Amino acid sequence: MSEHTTNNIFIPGPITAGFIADSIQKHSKKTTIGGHSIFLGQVRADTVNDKNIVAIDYTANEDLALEIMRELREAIFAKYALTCMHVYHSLGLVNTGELCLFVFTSSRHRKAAIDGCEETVEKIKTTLPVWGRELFEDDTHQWKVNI
Amino acid sequence: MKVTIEFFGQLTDISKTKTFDIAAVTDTDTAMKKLYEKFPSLQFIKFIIAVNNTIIHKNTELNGDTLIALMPPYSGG
Repeated sequence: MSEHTTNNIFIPGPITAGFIADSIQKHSKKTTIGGHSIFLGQVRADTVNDKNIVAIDYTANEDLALEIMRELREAIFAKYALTCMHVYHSLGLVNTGELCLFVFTSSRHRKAAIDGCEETVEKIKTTLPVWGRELFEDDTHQWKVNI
Repeated sequence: MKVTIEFFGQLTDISKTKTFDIAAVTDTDTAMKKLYEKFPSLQFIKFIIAVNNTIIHKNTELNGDTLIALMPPYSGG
């Protein structure tokens, strides 16, 4: 069950490339793994009515989000033959070009990792109580809408 | 018995506060009625309600200290 246990998925600020590299490196000892799948969400500099988004400020209903993530993890492990899965989501300010979501699945053969990663990303977008406040360069904001 | 309302996402633009305590009420419908009196604009925004971290879909009885979370559509990732 240890692999199914949800740690806190939330990270203050952006997810760094170094953090992701370390996470990949840690799997070199898990030699039953034959494939990994990784999704990285990046804050995009959208332009709305001639104003540019410069950052997203993320907030969450953390307790409920971790509970829902625990259930999601159980469901994904039940459906796909994964060796392990790691999920990290930013909270607070993430500038455009920086990473805000890191989903990392591993399995003996590629298909489970790829499909499990894709479904996890989709479910994170629709079922986790997290909100993005998109900040413009003139200090105004709008609330992100997931499509 | 204390009932605390917790606002998330764009609802905080209306409430201007993260949390708001209301006088003891016995069910969620009554809680929402009191809340709409205080923040009328909330009536025009779509959100779901969680009582002590359980999402509810109908009027729910409240017992003891309660946290009511009001959550607009999610936009994580």
